[in-house]
Amino acid sequence: MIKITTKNKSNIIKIMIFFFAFAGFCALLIYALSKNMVYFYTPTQIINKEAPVGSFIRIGGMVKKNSVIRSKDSLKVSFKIHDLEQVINVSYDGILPDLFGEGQGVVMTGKLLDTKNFIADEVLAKHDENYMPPEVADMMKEKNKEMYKK
Amino acid sequence: MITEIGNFLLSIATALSFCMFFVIFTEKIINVGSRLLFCKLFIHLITFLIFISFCLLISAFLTDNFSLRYVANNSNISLDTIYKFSAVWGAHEGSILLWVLILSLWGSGVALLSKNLPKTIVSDMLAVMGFLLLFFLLFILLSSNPFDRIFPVPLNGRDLNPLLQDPGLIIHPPMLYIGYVGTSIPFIFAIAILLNGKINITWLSWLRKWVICSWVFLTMGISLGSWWAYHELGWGGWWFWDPVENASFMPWLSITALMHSLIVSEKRGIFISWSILLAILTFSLSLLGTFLVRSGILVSVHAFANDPERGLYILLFLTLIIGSSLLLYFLRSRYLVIKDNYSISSKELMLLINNLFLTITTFAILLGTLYPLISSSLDLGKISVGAPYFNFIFASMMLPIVFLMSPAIYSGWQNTNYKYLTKKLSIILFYSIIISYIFLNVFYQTDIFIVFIALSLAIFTIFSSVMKILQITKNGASKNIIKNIFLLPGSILSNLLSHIGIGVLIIGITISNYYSIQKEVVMKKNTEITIKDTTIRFVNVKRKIENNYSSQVGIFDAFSENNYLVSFFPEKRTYNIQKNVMTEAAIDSSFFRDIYIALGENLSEDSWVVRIYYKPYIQFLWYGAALMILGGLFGIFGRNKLSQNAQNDS
Repeated sequence: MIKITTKNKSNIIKIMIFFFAFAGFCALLIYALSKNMVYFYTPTQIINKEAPVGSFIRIGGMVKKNSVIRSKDSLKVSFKIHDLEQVINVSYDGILPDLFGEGQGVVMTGKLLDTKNFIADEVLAKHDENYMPPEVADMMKEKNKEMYKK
Repeated sequence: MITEIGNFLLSIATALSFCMFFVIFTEKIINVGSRLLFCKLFIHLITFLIFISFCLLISAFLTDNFSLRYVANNSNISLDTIYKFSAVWGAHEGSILLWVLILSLWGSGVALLSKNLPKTIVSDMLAVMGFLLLFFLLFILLSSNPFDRIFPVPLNGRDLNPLLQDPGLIIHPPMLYIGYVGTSIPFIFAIAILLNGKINITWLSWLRKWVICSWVFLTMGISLGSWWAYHELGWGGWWFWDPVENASFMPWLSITALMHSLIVSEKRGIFISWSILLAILTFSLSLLGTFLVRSGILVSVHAFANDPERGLYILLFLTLIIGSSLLLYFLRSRYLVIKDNYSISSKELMLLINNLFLTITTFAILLGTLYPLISSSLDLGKISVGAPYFNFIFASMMLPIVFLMSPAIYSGWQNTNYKYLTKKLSIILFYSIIISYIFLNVFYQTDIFIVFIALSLAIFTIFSSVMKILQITKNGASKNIIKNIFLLPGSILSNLLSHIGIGVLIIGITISNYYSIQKEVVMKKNTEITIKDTTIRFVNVKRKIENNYSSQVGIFDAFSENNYLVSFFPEKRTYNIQKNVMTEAAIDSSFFRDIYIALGENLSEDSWVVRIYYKPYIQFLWYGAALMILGGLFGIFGRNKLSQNAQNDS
C-alpha cells in the first residue's frame, strides 16, 4: 500500500491542480473552436436544404454573367452565384475585392437568409487571374465529373 | 551553361553534406579532432558552393536570362532592378535555395563560433546539420530546381507577382527565413546533447545567445510581414490569422518559451530536458510551417506553389525528423539531469507558468490552423476557423502572462520577499489602473472591459520595467543615471526593454483595434468627408504610366480646422503582364495616429468608392516590435554579467 506522506500529498495536490487546469483549458479550447467554426456549402447543397437557414456560413461559386447590380449612391451590390447547377442570390454592402468580376470564382462568409438568399459580410477573390478558390475549384471539378457521367 | 554550373555546384554540395552527415558514424574509427576538422571543412565548402549557385541565380535574374524556367516565370525585362533582385526569392524554387543558403550559413556560424563547446558536441551538431542540408539540397535537385530550363526560351518573362513588388517584400522573406532556419541551431544542439547523453551549464549559455539571435530575426521577419500586409493588402489590417502567418507565429511563440526556459536551465540547472524538448518542438514547428507554406494546401496570399509532390516530400521528412528526434528524446532525456532535488518557487515558478501558457497558446493555434485541413481530409465537411477563435484564445492566454511579467521582474531566484513585492507592485498596479481608466474616459468616452484590462496591464508592465531600470541604475557604479543604463548587464537590459516593448505593442494592438474609425463611402470629385478631426477632400484622379504597370492615382487633401495638412496619393494599379489590379493605399503616419486612404472601384466618371481609416496608436505596433528587437540585440551583444561584477569589485 502506498503511504501518503506530506511530500506525496503535496505532489498529489500539484498533479490534481495540473489536471484540472488542463481539463479546463481543453474545455475552453473546444468551446471556442465550436463557436467559431464556419462550414462551407455549395449553392446546390443550399438549395437542397443541407445548410441551416439563418446560420453563419461560407459559400462559394462563380459569379453569374450579367447578374451584378450596383446601387447608384451607396456601396450596396447584389449578384448571383452558381455552381453550374443551382443559383443563389447574394447581397453585399461594402467594397468588392479588386479581382471580383463576372465569371470569376468567389468565396463569401455571411448569413443564409433562406434557401435562395444570402447576405455576405465578406467577399474574397484572389489577386491572380488564374486563381480559383480551392473550395470552388473542388466543387467545379466534381460538378464537371457528374455532368460528364450524365 | 548556367544550368549546368548551377546543378553541378548543388550536386557537389549534396554529396558533401552526405559526407558531413556520415561523420556521425565514424566515432570509433576517426579521432574527435579530425572529425571536427572534417565537419568544419565540409560546412564551409557547402556554404561556399551554395552561395556561388545563389549568386548565379541572382545574375540570371539581373541579366534577364529567360532560358531558366524560374526566371521566365518570375521576372520581366521591364521590372525594376531592385525587384529583379528580390524576385530571386519571390517564388518557391528560389526561396528554398535561399532557405538552404541560410541554413548553411548558420552551420558555418556554429563552426566558427563554438570554441566553448567540446569537440564531440560540435562535430555531432554539424553532422546533424549535414543531414538537414542533405534533405533540403535533395529537395531542390529533385523537385524544385531553380536552374531548370525552359524550351523554347521566351522573349520576355511572366513578371513577378505584383503583390510582391513592394519594398517590404525585399527584406521580409530573408529576415523571416533567417529566423525560421535559425531554430535549427537549438535543434542540432538538442540532438547532439541527446546523442552524447551529457550536459553542462556553460553550453546552455552558449545556446541561449543563438536562440536569442534567431528570435530577433523571427521577430523582425514577422513584424516586417505585418507592416507589408498593412501597407500592401489594402484592407487596413496587419494580422489576419492567416494559416501562413500562424505558421510563422507558432515557432515564434515556442522559441520565446525556449528563450525563457533556457534562462532557468542556465541559472538554476533545472528544466533542462524541457528546454531540450522545446528545442525539438520549435524546429518541428518551423518545418511544419515550411510544409504548410510550400505544399500549396493552404488558402493564403503566401501559398504560391501548388505541387502535392513537394508537400508529400516535406511531410515525409517532417515525420522522420519529429519521430526520430522524439524517440531519441524519450530514450535519452533522463541522462540530462544536473540537479535532482529542487523546489519550484519564485522566479522559477513564474517562468514555468510563462512556458506553460506559451506552449498552450502554440498548441491552440496549431489546432485552429490544422483542424480545417484534418476535417477536410477526413471528409467531415469543409470548415474554416475564424479570427474570433484565435483572438479569444490569444487574449485569454496572453493577458495572464503579461500580468505575471512585472512580479517576475521583481522576484528573485528561489526566494522572494513577497511582502515587499506585493507592496511595491500594488502601488504601480493601482496607478496603472487609474491612468488607463482616465485615459479611456477622456479620449474615447467608453470603457470596454477588455480594453481597460489590456491597457492597465500594458501600462503596469511598462511602469514596473522602467521603475526597475531606475532602481538598479540609482545604485549603479557611476553617478550619472544615463551612463549607468548603458553599464547594465545585457541580460537585464534585454529583459526590461523587450517587456516594455510588449507593453507598447499591447497598447498599439488594443487601441488601434477597438477605436479605429472606418469609412467606406462613394465620393464624387470635389466633395469632402470628415473623419475624427480631419477633413478630407477628394480632388482628382490622374493616370500614371510606369514601366510595368499603369495606374490611376487619386489625389486627396487633408485639412484640420481649415489648415492644410497633407496630400494623399492612393493608387489603383494594373500590371501589364499578369493583368492584376492592385490597390496601393496612401498612409499618413504620425506618432498617435495613421490616416489611411485606399481607392475602391470606379463607379462612374467622377465618383469612386473610397475607403478611409483613422487608426489611433497603430504606430505603437512598430515601436513595440522595435523595442523587442533592440532588447534581443542587447541580449546577444550586451555586456555580460561577469565583467560588470568585476567592475564593481575593482
